Amino acid sequence: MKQQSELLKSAKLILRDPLGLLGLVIVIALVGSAIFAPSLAPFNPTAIDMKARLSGPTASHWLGTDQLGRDTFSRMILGGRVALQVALPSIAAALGLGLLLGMVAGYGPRWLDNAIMLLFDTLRSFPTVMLALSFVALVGPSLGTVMLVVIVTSAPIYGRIARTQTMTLKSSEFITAEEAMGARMPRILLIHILPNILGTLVVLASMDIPAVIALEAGLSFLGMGVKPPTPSWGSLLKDGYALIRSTPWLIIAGALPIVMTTLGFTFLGEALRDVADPKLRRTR
Amino acid sequence: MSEPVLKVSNLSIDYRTEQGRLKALRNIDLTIGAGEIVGVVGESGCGKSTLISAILRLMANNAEVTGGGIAINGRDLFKLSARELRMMRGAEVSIVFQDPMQSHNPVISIGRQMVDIQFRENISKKEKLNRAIAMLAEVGIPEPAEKMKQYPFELSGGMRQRLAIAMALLCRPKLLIADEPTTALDATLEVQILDKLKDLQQRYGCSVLFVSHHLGAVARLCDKVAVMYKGEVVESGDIDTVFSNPQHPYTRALIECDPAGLEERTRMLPTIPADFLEAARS
Repeated sequence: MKQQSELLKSAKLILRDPLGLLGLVIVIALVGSAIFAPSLAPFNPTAIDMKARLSGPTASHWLGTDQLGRDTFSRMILGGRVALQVALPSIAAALGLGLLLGMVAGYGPRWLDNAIMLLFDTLRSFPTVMLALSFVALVGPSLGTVMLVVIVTSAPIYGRIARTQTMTLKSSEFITAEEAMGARMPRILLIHILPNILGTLVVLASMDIPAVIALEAGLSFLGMGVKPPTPSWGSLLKDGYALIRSTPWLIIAGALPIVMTTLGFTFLGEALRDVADPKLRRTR
Repeated sequence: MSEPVLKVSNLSIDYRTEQGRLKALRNIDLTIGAGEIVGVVGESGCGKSTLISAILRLMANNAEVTGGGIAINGRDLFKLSARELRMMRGAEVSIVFQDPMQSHNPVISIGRQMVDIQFRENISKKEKLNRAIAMLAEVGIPEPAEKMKQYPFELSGGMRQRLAIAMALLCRPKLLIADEPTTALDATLEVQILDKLKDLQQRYGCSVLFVSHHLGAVARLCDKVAVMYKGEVVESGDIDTVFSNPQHPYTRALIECDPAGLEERTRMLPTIPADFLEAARS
């Protein structure tokens, strides 16, 4: 009951912030359109119609068609689905992995901490795009590759934060009390430390989602993300880029959703952070 | 007499520091029999906390046992494996800390903490919950069933200390260590908590190691007392003997410092100088 009212309070605070509200609306629209993409899209996004190729916006093709006559609006909506399919699971996996390794590093013995930190530092020392391109070169372009890159590059960031916070909590009295009761490491980490650090990291992760969407679009733009004919915002941009003088709507259909998504998640993330902050201050 | 619950014999502990070795404990002897309440008094820095951390074997990384040993229910603490140590903690020894504001997890509910702490008991979750509620009632927390859903920060300091005692007693330890449990509380609450501790001790028949720098609290609660000064036990014995006829000059000075013993109004409360023993000798 207590938790529900807390949630309700947070929700109210987000709604009171106009940018937070805007962010929430954009994110809900995006997630909704991704879930209902097949029924929202007026055309099959991969159906080729050479007679209607490169048509401008019309009553049936709201955002025109590409060089193969595929409906741009349908491709944009299904592109959103691909973007979220990459971003959400990979961020969730990175968060889970980072939390696990970070908490173990922060709580466990010194040598394990050193080993995990060395792993994190090694992974972080590669520029993300370089790492992504070499992965693609090794295993070939696919959604899975993009997700793997995201997990490998984001998990260390979350891991470092989880580690620092665990180290602070480790010396607090309630953890000592738990140790004095004979609790083992998994119990202390999962039941006592995790709920204390989860909030901060979830906010952080929500602000990372647009970066992942941009990475997927970037790789697809380079032809190293999702395989054609699967629609992606990045491949829309790529098709539009070649034809930018004659058919500007292709570029718009690829770029606009990326911009909107980035803004939406950023606004929402910032509102979430503001909601989380005074709460953290109060419990301290 | 049966085996003592706690037997600290000739224990010495050093801290390795950058300035060299610091002798935190020197040849400590302390015995607690079954059902006894033993007080340990001494000023800040005299080694009380080091002694407690040694009994729980939760010593700081730079601490080193240089001699002596600790036996709990006849078992040598320093010979236990990590697993045996875990089994001993909580089941045989548990602890109530000084600051009730910090000894509970702030983000999970009281009920969940109390159910979780019984992780070793082989009973259903419902039974654990019922035991937790019963224990809250025992320590004198009103409306215990409602408290299960609340969070520690919603309770007052005195209630939180009662909660800490309830949690320490949930696993029915043979020895309860109370590390200045009333220092962070005001005087009225202190008396209530002390009486509750004594009451619970008699009901559960456990032994209590009561650490404090408040002589009044020790006198009210304990059967025996050990006075610590600069890492040594300078005097120990029955509470009445030690307090009515103190042998060691430090004990005498400590008793004189108790403001309850003052008969005249004064602006200068009695104090003990840092180099007390040296001053007393000269």
